[in-house]
Amino acid sequence: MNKFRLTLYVTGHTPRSEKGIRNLQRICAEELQGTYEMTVIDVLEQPQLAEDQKILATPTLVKELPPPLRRVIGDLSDTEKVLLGLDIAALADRNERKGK
Amino acid sequence: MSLAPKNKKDPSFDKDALPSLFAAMPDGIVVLDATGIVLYANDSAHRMFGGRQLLGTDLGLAVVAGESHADVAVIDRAGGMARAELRAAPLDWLGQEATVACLRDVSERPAPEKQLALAGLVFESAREAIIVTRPDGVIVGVNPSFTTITGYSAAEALGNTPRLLTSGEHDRPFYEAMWASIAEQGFWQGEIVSRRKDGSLYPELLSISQVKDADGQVTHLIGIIFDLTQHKIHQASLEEARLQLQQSETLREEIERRSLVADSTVLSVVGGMYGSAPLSRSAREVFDELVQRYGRTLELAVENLALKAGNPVSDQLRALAEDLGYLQAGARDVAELHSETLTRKSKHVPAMKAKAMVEEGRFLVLELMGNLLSFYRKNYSRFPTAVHNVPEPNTKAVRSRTKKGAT
Repeated sequence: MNKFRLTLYVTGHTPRSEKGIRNLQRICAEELQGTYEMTVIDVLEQPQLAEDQKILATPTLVKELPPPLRRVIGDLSDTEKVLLGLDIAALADRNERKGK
Repeated sequence: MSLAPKNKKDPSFDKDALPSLFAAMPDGIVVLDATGIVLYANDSAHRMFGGRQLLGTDLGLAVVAGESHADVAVIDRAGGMARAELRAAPLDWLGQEATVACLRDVSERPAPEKQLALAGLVFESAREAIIVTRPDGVIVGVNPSFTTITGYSAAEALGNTPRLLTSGEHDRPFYEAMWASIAEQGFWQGEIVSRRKDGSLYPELLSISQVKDADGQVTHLIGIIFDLTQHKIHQASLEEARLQLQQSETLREEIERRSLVADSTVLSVVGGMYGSAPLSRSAREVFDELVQRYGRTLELAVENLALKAGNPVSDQLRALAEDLGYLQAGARDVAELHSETLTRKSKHVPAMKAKAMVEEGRFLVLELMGNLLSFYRKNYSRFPTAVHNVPEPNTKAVRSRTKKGAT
């Protein structure tokens, strides 16, 4: 199974950032069970990294692996929309497809 | 007259006008393809992103929960940040699946002091004084109760700092602790003494809370003052009443205690005064001998009852009381002596005799108590102040006498 590599870009230690991190942790735990690598980058602490990656807004969630590279910005609380935006079929769907 | 049909025919409402409409929109409009690449961005969007070229860049697919908006930070080219509300909707863009994202800059949203002015009902009518300051302490708002309590008008307070009210009653560490609490917990509450405009001091309950924006940055401090002057007066009168009550209680207890001296319960006072362990524990051997003596006296008393033998029960009780007195026995010791004797004596005797012992024992123990009381009265006339003159208990003497009595 391919391992997912996800990076979340946030701005400072704010309630909004924490909410984004919590949402991502939830998505990873529920949908990508054990097959992910998660990184959180504070653009205030590492502005160059954000610049290099051309991060235009926070929170931005980037799926680096598996290809294709995908980004979503905004609210990560809607798991389904986030997975769709990242082009990740929900685990349940994948299992279902495998079963068939 | 409806305008709609007319507008439909209006030649100026032409699709050629749309670019200028989008360009003039104050909100940033961005069209994204299914993978998050920017297909279109209006002037406001370019402005928000610091003049970057947005077309063809990967902004990321806009995700918003439900029908609401997402709070995002937009990064401009210089690394600056603007708070924005992001809204998104699906769109058919020239035949391809797309998303239109609308970004509204909310960095300039009304500051809390303005919002307070709007939601002013609570602010205006609260009995507590409310002070709103900037993080640097400069007062940006006070309510009418502030003037009532402190004597300073709003005009005098605005632009000043709460140091205006400093009484000088609290030291530096006090304020340091207060500010440390605010910094750590975002909150402080306590009683402090402040100074009114007329120079008079007054006690107050002060609560200070931080106000934070969506990013968690402190924008304001809110101080709420509850004037404790009346409360303190009330508390003082309560305390006075409590003291008076306590004094009268003490007086009552004293009277009771003194009257006890003249009462038969003097025995328990003596017992309690020495506060020592009961004889049954402190001088077990002596106590056992006393139990035997009392037991024999009890037997004699029962004999008297049944046979009219005329045994010298009262003499023996007087002698016993005297020994108990020298031992500084109290009512507790007498009661123990009585009950232990009865327990031992009634064990191996017929039920009838046991019953007789219990009944006769009641008179015996009363007489013994009376004798002991007389002993104390005779020996310590100014009881209890002279109680310290009680002779040292001489258990040896008692023992030798007990032995003599036994033979």
